[in-house]
Amino acid sequence: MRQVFGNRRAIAFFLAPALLVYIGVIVVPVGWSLVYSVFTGSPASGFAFAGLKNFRALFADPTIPQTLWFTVKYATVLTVGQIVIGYSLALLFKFVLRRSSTFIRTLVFFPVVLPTVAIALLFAQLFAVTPQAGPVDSIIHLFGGHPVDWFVSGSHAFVVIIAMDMWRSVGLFAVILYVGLLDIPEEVIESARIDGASGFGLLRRIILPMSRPIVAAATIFALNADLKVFDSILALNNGGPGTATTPLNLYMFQESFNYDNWGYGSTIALLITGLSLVVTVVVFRSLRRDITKD
Amino acid sequence: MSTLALVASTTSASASSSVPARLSHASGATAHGTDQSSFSILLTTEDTQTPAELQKLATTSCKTEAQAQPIALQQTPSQNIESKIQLLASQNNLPLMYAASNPDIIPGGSLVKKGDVLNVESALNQLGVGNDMTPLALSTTKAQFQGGVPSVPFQMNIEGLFYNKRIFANHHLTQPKTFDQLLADAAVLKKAHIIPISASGSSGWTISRWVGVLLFRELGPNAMNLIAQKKASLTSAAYMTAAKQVAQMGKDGYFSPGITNLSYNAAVAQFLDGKSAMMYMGTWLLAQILSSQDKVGRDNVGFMPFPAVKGGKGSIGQYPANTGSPNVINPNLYGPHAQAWLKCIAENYGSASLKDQGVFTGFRTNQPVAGLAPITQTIQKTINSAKQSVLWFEALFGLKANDDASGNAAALVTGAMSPQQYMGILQADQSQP
Repeated sequence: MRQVFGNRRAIAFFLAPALLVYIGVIVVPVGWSLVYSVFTGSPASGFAFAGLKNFRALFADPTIPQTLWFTVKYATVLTVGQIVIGYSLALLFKFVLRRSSTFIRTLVFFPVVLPTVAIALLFAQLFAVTPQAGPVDSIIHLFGGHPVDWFVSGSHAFVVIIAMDMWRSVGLFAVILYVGLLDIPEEVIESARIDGASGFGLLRRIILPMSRPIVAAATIFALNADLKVFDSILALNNGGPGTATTPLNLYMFQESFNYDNWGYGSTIALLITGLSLVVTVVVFRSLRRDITKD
Repeated sequence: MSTLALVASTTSASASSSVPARLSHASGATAHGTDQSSFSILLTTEDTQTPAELQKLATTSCKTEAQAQPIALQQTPSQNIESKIQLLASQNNLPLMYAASNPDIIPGGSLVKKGDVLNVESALNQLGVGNDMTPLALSTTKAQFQGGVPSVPFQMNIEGLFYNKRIFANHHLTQPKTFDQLLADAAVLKKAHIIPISASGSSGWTISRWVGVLLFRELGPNAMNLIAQKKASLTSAAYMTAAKQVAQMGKDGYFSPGITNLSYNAAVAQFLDGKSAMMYMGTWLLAQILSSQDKVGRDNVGFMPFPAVKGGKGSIGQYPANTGSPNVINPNLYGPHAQAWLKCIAENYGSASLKDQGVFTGFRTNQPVAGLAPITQTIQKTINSAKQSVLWFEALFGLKANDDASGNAAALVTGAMSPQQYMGILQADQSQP
C-alpha cells in the first residue's frame, strides 16, 4: 500500500476522476460565473462587456443591504436554533430515551424527507387568515386574541419562515449531533460519573468538549445551508411583502432569470460565495480548539 | 384564472389596414420556417382557456390541421415562464407557440432581435385572413406592443368593476359614477360587515391596477406613456395622489382582510361566493363566472366601468383593454402546416371561444352565437361601444418594475410600505437604463 501511495502516477490515477468531476461541476461554473459578472445581458439577448459596472451597481443597489441583512439575520437565528434544539434533542435521545429513542428519532427526522414546497404550502395554510383562518389564528382567537395577518410585514413573515425552516431541518441536526454523542466512549462518561460528575457538570465538562468537532461541523453545515436559503421562502411568500424577506439567493435568482441580468446576478452570487467563505473560516477557527488543552 | 398581467392601451379603435409585406427585423419576422411534426405550445399554467379551446378546435373545425400537425402542449407557472423562455431561446429550442413577456417582444426586444417572433399581422394578411382580426384587437395590440403585432389575440378583454347586484340592491346602492361615490359605497358595505373589494396580495396586480386606473382617470389616457417616455415621474405629486388614495382605501379596510398572502383564486372565490361586493378585473373573469357553481349566480354579477374622478382629465368611458397574455409564434417553425393552423384559428377561434367559454377574442365571430348570458351580452355591448381604451398600470414597465408593482402592492394597502416608497421603487426601476 505504501508503494502505491508513494507512486505519483498511482496517486494521479486515483484522484483524476474525482478531480475532473469536481472541476467540471464546481470550479468551471464558479469561474464562469466570475466571468459573467463583468458582462451584461443574457443568453437570449447576448452579452456585452461591462467592466466593473455590475460591482458598482452592487454597492449602489439599496436592495442589497436589505437582503444581506435579512440573510445574515435568518442564518444566525436559524443556525442557533438548529444547533441548540438539535443538540438538546440529541441529548434527550442519548441520555433519557436511550434505546427507546428510535420512534421519536424517526418522528423528528420525518419533516426532513418532505418536499420543501409541500412544507411551505402547509405553513402558508397554518398561518393563513383568509379565506379561512388557519389553526394558528384559530388558537389565538380561542384565547380571545385578534387575528394576525402573518404575512403583512417582514417581521411577522420572519417568524413564520423561522418556524417553518426550523421544523423542516432540526431533525437532521438532531441526528447528526446524536451520532456525534454516540462516538463519546462510554468509559469516559462512566469514569466521570464515578469521579462525581453528573447532570449539568457532566454536560459542561465532558460531553460538550468531546462533541465539539461534530458541533463545529454541524454549525458550518447549518450556516452555509442557511446562508443559501432559497426554495422554502420562494414557495412560502416569494420573499415578500416587497423584498422584506428576500434572501440574497432569491434576489440573485430574480435578477438573473426574471429580469435577464445574468451579469448582475453573477455578481450577487460572488457576494454570497464570499459571505459563505468568511463565515466558514470564522466558525472553523473559533471552534477548532484542541480539546486536549482543556 | 385565465390571463394575468396583460392589457392594452390605444387611443383609437380604428385599425391600420396597410401592412408591409416584410417588416423590419426589429419589429417582428415574417419568415417561413420548417414544420415540426407537432404543433408545440408552451403556455402559462394559469392560462386554462387557450389550451382548452385549441384542443377543442383540434377535434372540430381544425381537425384536418390537427391531423397534419397534432398539438403538443406544455404549461409552466407564470412565475417561471420568463426564465424558461430565456433558456429555450438561448438553445434555439423555442416551441412553435409560446407565452412571452411584453418587453421581450416589443420592437427591439430581445426575442424580436433574435428572430424568434413572427409578425402576426403580416402573417394573417399573407394567409388572406387579415380581416378576421378585429380592428379594436389590432389597434389594442399595437398600443400594447409599441407598434408591433407579435401576439395572437386569443382574448379581447376590457377591465372594470364586477359587482354583486344582490349586495348592492340590499344596501340600496347604485353603480357609482364618481370615485367619491365608490368610496362612499365601500364605507356603507364595510359598516355592514361585507368585504367591499376583493383583491389578491400574491397576485398584486389586482391591487396595482387600482393605482393605474386612478391615474388614467385623474391625469388622462396618456399618463403612463409620459412615464415610459421619461417626461413625468411616478414620484411627482400628481402621480402620488393615486397611490395615496389606494393606500387610504387599504387603511380604511376596503380590501380583502389578510390580503398579503391571499391567492388570486381565493380572491375570485371570495367574490363569487358572495362574501365581497366588488372586484376590479378583466372580462376574462367571464369564463369563471359562467362556469362556476358559485353562490352568487351568473345573473347576479354586474359589470361597470371604473368611475370618473371629479376634475380628472380622463373619463368613465375609457376602458383599459388587452388582447390576453402574449402568445407568440416562432417563425423558425412556421411552415405550411403551422400556417394552416393559424388560418384555421383566425377563421374559427372567435366564434368557438364565445360559444364554449363566453370569452371574447380578438377574432371576428364568423358564426353567430346564440343564447349568451346577460353578463356576456352586457360586456359585448360595452366592448362594441367602447370609443377609447387606455393602458393598464404596468403595460409599459420593464420586467423589474412590473414585478415590483405587483410584489409591493399588498404592502401599499396594508401600510407596510408608504405610497412614497412604493412609487419611489417603481420610478427607480424605470429610471434604470
